[in-house]
Amino acid sequence: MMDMVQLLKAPQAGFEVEDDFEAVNVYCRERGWTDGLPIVPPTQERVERMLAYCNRAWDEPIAALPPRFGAATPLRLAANAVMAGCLPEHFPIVMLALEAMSDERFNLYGIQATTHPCAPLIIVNGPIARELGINSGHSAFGPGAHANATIGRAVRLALVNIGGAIPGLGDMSTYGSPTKYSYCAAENEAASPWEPLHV
Amino acid sequence: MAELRKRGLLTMVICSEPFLKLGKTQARVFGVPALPLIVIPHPLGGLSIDDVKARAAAALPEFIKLVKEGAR
Repeated sequence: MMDMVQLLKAPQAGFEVEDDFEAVNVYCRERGWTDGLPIVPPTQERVERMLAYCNRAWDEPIAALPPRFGAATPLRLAANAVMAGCLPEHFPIVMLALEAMSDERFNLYGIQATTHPCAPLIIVNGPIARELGINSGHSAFGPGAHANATIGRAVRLALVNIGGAIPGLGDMSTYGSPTKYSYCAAENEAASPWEPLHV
Repeated sequence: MAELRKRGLLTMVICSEPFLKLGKTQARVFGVPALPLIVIPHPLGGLSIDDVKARAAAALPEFIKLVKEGAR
């Protein structure tokens, strides 16, 4: 485990606000750090619990997220995952999804800034999807499954707060889309007529 | 455009009003903060050909000025 206290000494690494759910939410909302819905306050303790599922250096960027090309460190990603309501065991998927999206061939820059209402879709393949309870069945893209909702939301919050995909500033989507709140499901390998995605 | 500018070519970007902040931010992010941005009225989509010509005409004076100055 790294020294969180030391990491939080970096400029703008953390913020202090009254220890009150509503006060934290007002603070974050006023700064444009939410998707409009209430967030879970990213306290040091919660962020550390999230990072317990991270085997990388907490301050070493996993990716540079466009259009701001902000450094997506595990520390920053963990704060966004807490805010989104993720469980710590969801965190490796959040990191992996953003690392994959940052592959130059995916053109995340274009996806983030375009006037089109597109959003990256995360499809999780393999045993981890079952372990985490990521829904691949009825209403896979709808509400109801905690893992789908929070993993997708954590990725979106990171795309906004680290990547700078702020509506009207870095995200120029004309109409926007509900898929920009959260967009994550598992592959239903058992019912799929196609080769599984890992093949 | 940022890459072309870094190579020393004459460069400028024409954008409509809502894209000005994004343009300024991206110019800074890509290391060419002085990249000229010519702003024209929004929108660009769904216009008649005459309206498109009017947009071009709006950009033309600044465009010519920058070319004459050899804007980089």
